[in-house]
Amino acid sequence: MDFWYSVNNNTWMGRLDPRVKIVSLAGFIFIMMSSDSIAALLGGMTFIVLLGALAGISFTMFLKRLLWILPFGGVMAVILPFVVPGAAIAQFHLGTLELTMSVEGMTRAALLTLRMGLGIFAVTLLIATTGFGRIMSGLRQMHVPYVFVAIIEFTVRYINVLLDELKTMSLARKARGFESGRSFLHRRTFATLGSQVGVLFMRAGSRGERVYQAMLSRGYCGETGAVLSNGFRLLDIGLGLGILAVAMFLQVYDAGGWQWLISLK
Amino acid sequence: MANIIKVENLFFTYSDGTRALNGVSFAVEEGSRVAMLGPNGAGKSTLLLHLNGLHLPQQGSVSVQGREVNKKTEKWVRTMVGMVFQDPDNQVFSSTVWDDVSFGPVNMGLSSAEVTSRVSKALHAVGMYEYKDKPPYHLSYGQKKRVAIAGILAMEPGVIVLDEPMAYLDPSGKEQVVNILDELHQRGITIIIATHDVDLAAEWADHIIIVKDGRVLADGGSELLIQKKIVEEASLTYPLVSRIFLNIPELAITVPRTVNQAVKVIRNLIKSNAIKQ
Repeated sequence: MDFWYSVNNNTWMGRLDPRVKIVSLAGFIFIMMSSDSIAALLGGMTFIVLLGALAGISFTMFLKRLLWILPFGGVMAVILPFVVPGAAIAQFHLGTLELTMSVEGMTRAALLTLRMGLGIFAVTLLIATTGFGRIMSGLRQMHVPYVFVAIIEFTVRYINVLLDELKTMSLARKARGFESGRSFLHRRTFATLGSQVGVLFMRAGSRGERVYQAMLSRGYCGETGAVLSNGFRLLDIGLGLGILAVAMFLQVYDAGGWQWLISLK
Repeated sequence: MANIIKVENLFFTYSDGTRALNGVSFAVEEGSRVAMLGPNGAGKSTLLLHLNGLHLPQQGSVSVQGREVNKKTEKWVRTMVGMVFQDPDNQVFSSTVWDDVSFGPVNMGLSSAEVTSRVSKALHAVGMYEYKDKPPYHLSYGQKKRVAIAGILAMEPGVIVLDEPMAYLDPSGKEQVVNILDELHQRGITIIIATHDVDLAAEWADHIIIVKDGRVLADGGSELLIQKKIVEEASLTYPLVSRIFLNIPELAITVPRTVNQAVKVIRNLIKSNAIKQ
């Protein structure tokens, strides 16, 4: 999870106010997601990669982040061509099963992949040039409800602590001769793992209690105080609007807006 | 010196019926170094939570700087008495070290310039300033402990309470914490620790409070640690240094408790030719 934090991006993208970046990149994703055109989506992705290149983010980094969603998105993209009805382009025979790939399905899959890719690319750009801590303080400065920001922060902070506990528990299980790897349906395995998950749950709960107590003892009373704020410059707003303008342009251009623009002359 | 903390006849029973405190009374002088010892389940942690206003007295009273701790003063007490918890993972929760140390000062409503200056001072005091932008889970246990201490220092309390400050620390980590505690003592801060480490208590503390079954069993100087009856009753052991001398009763001397005292005793014995060189 290193990439969340170790960010000291001193390029113009890195210096851009976090709030401006959050709003403009979220807006960028929002506008582009409604696009039904492969060309526009590709254009959007290229734009993000270009911004990334200017901020010193390598293309491989974008691709690596893309890998993270493969288990979820990839499966959908593989299935879609076979389940969407339309003009057949290929047929496969798997025993008695007959699978038909359709053109419409292919298009849907491509659009889905590109949309996911665009979202991941934009989010990667945001995180890689801003860092988790500054995104969170940006969200707070934008008056996103405190509970919402706190939940994200606590999740990221404590997921490792809980995973460590899980690891220790599994080691302690092994140390007393518990054999894992047997079928999940094996009754004793199931009972053991079940009760351990239960214990982890209880521990997480009581840890939450203790964390809360420690917060109270440092004067916490339901809200964190004022966050140190530095106003953003006009340049920040300009760059943010620029990012949104590109998205609008891609949308309008692709919807045939260019013909409309020409006819204006 | 005046008493900065006064606990009188304090009782506390948890909602599940466990009686944790059974009439505890003691007083702590300003600027002193207090070690609280006692077996597991003696009520030490419950007692510490009272000093910080996290538990309020059910019976009896706790006062800090002459002001009684109650619903009205609990917020004030938390700025006066800082509490460092045993497991730093419970205390250090923010996404960066800097944010975490500033948590207390921001809650106190200080100006941002004041917060910045306090956080930087506190991080320097525990030697963690270079780590200010790191996320806490990248730190070692000892480093997290020091961040936890900095989080309290930044609130500049007059009293700092530490629950098992040395637990799970490696020898150099322990030494760093002892150095920090010494530094705080120099600054006139009152320090109270709960510990099972009799050697630490003997070396470091100038006031020993031994708790058992929710009561104060003994209250005094480090000489308590070599009194057979107390040590046995409180399930303690003698400090290592004392154990050596207690095994040579023919020396007929006051049994030393600290390394320095022992060195002095041995030097005197050499001088008086009791030990042949």
